[in-house]
Amino acid sequence: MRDLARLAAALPFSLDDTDAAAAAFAAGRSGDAGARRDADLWAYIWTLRYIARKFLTERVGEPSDVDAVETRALEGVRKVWDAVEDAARFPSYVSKVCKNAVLTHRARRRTMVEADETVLGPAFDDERFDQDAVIVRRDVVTAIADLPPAVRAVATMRFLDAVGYEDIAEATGHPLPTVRAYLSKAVARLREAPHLRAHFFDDVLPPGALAR
Amino acid sequence: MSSLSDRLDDYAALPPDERAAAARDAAALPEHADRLAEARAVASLLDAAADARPGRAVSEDDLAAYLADHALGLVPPDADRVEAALAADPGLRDAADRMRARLANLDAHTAGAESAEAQFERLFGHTLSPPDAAPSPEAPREAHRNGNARHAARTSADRAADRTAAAPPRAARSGAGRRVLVLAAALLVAYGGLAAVSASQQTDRARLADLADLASYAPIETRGADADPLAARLDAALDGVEEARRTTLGLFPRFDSARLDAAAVDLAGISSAADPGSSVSQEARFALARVRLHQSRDDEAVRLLAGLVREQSYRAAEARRLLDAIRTAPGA
Repeated sequence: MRDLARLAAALPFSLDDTDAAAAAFAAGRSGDAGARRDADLWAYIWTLRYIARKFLTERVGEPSDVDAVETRALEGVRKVWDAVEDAARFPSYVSKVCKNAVLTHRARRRTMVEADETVLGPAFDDERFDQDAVIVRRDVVTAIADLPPAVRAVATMRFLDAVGYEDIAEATGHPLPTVRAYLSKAVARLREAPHLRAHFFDDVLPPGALAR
Repeated sequence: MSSLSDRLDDYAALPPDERAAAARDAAALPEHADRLAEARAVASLLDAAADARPGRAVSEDDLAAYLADHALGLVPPDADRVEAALAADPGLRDAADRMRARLANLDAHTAGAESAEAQFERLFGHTLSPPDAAPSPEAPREAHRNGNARHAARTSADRAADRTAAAPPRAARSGAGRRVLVLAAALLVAYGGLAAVSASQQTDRARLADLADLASYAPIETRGADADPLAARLDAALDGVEEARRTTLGLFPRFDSARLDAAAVDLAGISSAADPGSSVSQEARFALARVRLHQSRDDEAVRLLAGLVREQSYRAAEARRLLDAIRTAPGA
């Protein structure tokens, strides 16, 4: 695998600091060449790390497939300066491009795998949301922060801390039906939150932004 | 009981058994297929956020992240927790062994491939500082603060040893040493002044074309494939541009027009011979456009740059910026 140590050392912020990456993107767009390099550097390292992590959990596919997925993902990442209007969405965009590259690879593999390979499966779970947890959690935290206070407290316990209904009712003093009603409102709001929609729908990105 | 529609609306908030029942009921009704898909997407997103909470059990994804980061030369964000789980969980150790075998395969495949630095510079058009540049005294501390690279894990004892090794003998810092330092400082100031004059004398056109920044081409190396002769020609042509550059002590840059013309001819030949979609062709045309820009042959530069933009080349963004600059330049 490629050694990213020197590139990572050149990055002036932590790789998992997605807010700093978004800030570098915004500054780069305003003409700061150094910030533009930092944003590109972050996106490059993030992409290679994402794909390396994914391929360690894949049960099918050849090492040469990594090259193809990296190439596909990096092609998409290079379009980021034209594709993303809201700088805050820069990390999510990069993550989504990576995810799409992996999913496309999986779809192609499915049509090509031999029967003896499928014995090792089922390797892929389409329902699992396999984007980088750091970015997903960051965007969910942001979206929950915009909820009304009572709903926010319940949603935080359920969606960020994985607390069960009964325990939420006990902790907040609300009756169980109230907890369910608050969570219902929270889901309705979160489903419409642009930062979250960007993860599973393309309608918040410019047409063709994710096209390959 | 709530209607199926309500249960799909609330799907992400439902416990697993209620989700399964809602999915089963919706699957029997094709008209609910899209709503079920959306409900699952929202649920999987929120589940992923919860799965990423601090203190959760170490999963195989965490293990993959830990091993991949190590292999890539990065510092895994949650190393202590994963290592503790590995020590305590035989099942996780088995998974780690499988992943290490996979890593070995990946390593064997990428041996001798283009380095990350070269690939980044080629794809994104940035130039990184040379690898042998002396790091600043703050670099290790900064890297440690950032938590990015494996050298961040070096101990304070390592750094103390480095400082001891790098410190000059005390005697060298007195007498003659001071005079040398004063002389060096004076030369530095004089050179700085000349550099400022040199920069001020550089034309807008030369700054725009910036031929000094034409990096050498690092071709993609694929195992088992023969080297691309056009890639070697491109590297040689770019060297030709560099060799056409003349300076006085690194200042007052100018170009030997005959050599620059020869390099331009080479670049034009390469771009004609290469597959238009190849990186060789794109690099050759981009370099040729900058040479033509330097030579004030704007029509040719615009044609080449517009082609790159039209083809959505990975150089398109830079090509578009140059086109904008040409169109807004004085006298354009």
